[in-house]
Amino acid sequence: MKSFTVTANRTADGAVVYLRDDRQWTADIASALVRTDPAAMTDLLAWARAQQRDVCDPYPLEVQVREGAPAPVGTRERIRAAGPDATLRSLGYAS
Amino acid sequence: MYRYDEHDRALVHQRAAQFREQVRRRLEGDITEDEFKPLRLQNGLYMQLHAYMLRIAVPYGLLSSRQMRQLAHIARTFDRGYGHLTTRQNVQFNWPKLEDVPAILDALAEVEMHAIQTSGNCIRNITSDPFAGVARDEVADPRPYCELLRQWSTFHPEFAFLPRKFKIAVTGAAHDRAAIAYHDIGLRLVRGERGEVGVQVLVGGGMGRTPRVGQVCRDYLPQEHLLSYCEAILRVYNRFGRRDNKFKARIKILVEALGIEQFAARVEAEWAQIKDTALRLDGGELERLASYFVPPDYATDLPGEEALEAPRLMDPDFRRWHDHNVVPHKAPGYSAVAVSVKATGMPPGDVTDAQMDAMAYLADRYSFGRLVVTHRQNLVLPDVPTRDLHALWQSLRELGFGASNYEQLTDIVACPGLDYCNLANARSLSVAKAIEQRFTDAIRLAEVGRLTLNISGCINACGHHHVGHIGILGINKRGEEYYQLMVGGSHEDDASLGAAVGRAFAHDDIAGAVETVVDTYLAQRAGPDEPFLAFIRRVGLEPLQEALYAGE
Ligand code: HEM
Ligand code: SF4
Repeated sequence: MKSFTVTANRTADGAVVYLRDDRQWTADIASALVRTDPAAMTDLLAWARAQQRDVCDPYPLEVQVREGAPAPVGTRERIRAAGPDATLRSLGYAS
Repeated sequence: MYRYDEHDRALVHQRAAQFREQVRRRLEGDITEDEFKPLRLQNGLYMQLHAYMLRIAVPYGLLSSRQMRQLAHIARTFDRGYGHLTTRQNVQFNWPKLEDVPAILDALAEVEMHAIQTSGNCIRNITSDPFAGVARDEVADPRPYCELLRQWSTFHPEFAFLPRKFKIAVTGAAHDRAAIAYHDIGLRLVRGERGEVGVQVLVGGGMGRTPRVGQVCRDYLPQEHLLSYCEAILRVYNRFGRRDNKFKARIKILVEALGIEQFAARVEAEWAQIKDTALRLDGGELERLASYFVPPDYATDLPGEEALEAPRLMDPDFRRWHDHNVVPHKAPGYSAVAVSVKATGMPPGDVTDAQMDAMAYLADRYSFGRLVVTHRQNLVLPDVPTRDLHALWQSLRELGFGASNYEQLTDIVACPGLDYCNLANARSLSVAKAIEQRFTDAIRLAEVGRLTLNISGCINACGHHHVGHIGILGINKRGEEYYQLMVGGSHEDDASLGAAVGRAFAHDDIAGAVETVVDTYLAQRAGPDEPFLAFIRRVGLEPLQEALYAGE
């Protein structure tokens, strides 16, 4: 069974966020919740999509679980998870 | 330059006030993202990978120093200290917070700017020649025509929901520097039989996933019919353009489906109905707009190139810059300067707040307070006294803008790619950096000569990879970044689309592949007088394939 979490962009500033087990949004993918059960994911997505005031366009995201913590798969999600500071550093901006 | 009248001013202030209210409702949860999205896009606000992005319209690329200072202020106060010059002569900010966007729009309105027509399926910001008004090969100044089209297209009720976005470019020069063949409508000002100004109309050009070179829809249009004829084209497109498939919705697909003769015939039929209505320009409208673009008060007693004899002789770096980055001006004693903002270690097109302020200062000091954003993501100072070029260059060098690489290999055009963009397959900016790092020697660059390089992070082609002499397209192979290498594109009078050389390269190999292409060119060109593009057109892809894929 594949492992998934839920991700979105925060309404206030567009920042990438992931859903935690306590239903808070976090910028840290390693502390995101992980589900392998489609029924559980369906419920979570419905819940996340109802949080439209706080976040924009939540979607289910496949993750790899390494040493108990979820990690992104593929370049795009690696860049998203690494956050804007990593982007700025890689582009030559001190941040 | 154009100054807002009461109507324009009221309109942009109203728009900013409306958006303030819409943002408040979004932040308070009264409207959902789905409801908010079309509203924010109408105000140039996109969602990128890590943040919102605000795209600001710079009509035909022209900025006053006051506007540039305001952009610096916005970068400093509301963003992360820099902005980005785009290939559509606009400016983007990459990190605005939603709650700050209304204040940014207010700050823009103060200096007669806005973010209207920078998104959505409407007529977008009109683009033009960065040397408009000063080029020696100019038939007529294209800016009054651009401004006319801007006023006609802004909030045009009939064209608010076109099948897809619509881009118009105008050139007034013999040599096309506005890439008119790659726009939905491309307009070229020409002289008619009696010396009067008329317009050649191209239609159906574009890039994206189905690149097409525009075709002539009407060879000569008397200028008083400019608006009615464009309106006729838009009507035919609005009525017959496809709305069922986003990828087939651009006018280029319609023109291709009908054939240019059929398409032109439908336009003519539509035009016959409207050509002598209020759209006809014989009320002095063009003359009125032209009065905003009268040349500045040029001094008539300035020395010419002879004033540069000593600095050219004694300072080879200056000489190289003067040879490559300075363009002849129509007023004696003046020069137009292409300021390269590339190869500074920052991504192509990125300019810091301090650099913006400094450019505003230099524009005031040397160029009648005006600057132009170019579609190759640089800045032009259009009206510099030739005798001041050495002093100007020294200041530019202090800013990091002293490179002599205008339209050379490291003057790279790149879209934001996967570092910023939600739609990207691959990073563009890190590839630009890797290529820059291989070509830091100005003398070697000069030896390579004129060579444009364009990078897009996906098939949408925001970095115009189809028309670079070398083009790089990011693709996705099983979640990893790969790059297709293309050669032979041109956006000028000899417009052509680049051809893929062969198998794509991994992220860490693409800069090396570019170097191999350049080395092959240097080794096999007929001589230093054979530019890269001519070489490719002569020899084809084979020598490059041999060099790149030997042993496979
Ligand atoms: C979040 C950032 C961006 C998004 C989502 C985006 C999206 C797109 C899309 C979807 C297209 C294809 C449209 C079509 O062919 O119908 C396109 C084309 C284009 N974009 Fe962007 N873009 C972005 C940033 C930029 C930037 C930074 C530039 C300039 C540096 C740019 C300039 C262009 C140009 C010139 C085209 C050419 C398409 C044509 O008319 O043939 N875009 N963009
Ligand atoms: S070409 Fe693709 S990756 Fe680059 S900005 Fe446009 S949509 Fe984004």
